[in-house]
Amino acid sequence: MTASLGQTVKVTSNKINFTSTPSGSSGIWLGDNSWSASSGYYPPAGSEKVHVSGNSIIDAANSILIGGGAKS
Amino acid sequence: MGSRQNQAGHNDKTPSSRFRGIQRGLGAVGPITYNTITGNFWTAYASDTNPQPQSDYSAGILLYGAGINASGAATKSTSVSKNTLSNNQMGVQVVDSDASVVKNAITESSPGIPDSIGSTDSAALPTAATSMPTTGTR
Repeated sequence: MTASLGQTVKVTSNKINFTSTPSGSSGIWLGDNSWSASSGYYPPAGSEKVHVSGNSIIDAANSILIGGGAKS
Repeated sequence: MGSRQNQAGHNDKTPSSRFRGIQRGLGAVGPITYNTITGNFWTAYASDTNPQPQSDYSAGILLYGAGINASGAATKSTSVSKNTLSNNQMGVQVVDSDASVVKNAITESSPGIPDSIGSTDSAALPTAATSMPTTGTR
C-alpha cells in the first residue's frame, strides 16, 4: 500500500457539537499533511479530493480546516 | 460486510493499545450505519514516535485503507452514515480510503480533542515496514 492514494472524501449533513470549545479542536479537518518526516517515518505524500457541505458545527475552536493535502 | 445498529464504547485510558469503536481496514468494504459509539480514548501517546498528529488519538470510526485493492487503488467508497458518536477523541477518521461521511451526530466533551471528522491521504508509514503497522498510525 502506498501513501498516495488520491482518496475522495465527502462530508455532508453531519451535526458536530463540542460542548466546551476545547483548545485546538476542529469540527472537520480534511487534507491533513501538517507533519513532516521523522526518523523511521515517511513524510506525507498524498492528496485527496474533499467535498464538504451542509454540516452543523457548534463550539469547535476551528469549525472546518482544509489542509494542504486537500484539493477541490 | 456492513456494521449496522451496534453499540461500541468505553475503551478508555488503556495505554497498551489504541482503541477504535469500529475499524475498516485494508480492502474491507461495507457501510457503517446506525451505530452508537462512545468513549474511545488512548493515553499512551507519549511513547508514540509517529510524526502524524492524529496518531496520538483514538477514533470512534477509523477507515484505514478501506475499499482499496492490492496495489493501493480505491475500488469502493465506504459509507459512514447516521451513526451517533460521543466522547471519542476523534469521531470519524479517514485514512487512505474513499468515503462518504453523512448525517452522523457527533458530540465531544473532553478537552484536547483534535477533530471530530478528519482525513488524510498519506498515513505516516514506517520506512522499514513490510506490512501495515499496528501502532504509529491513526
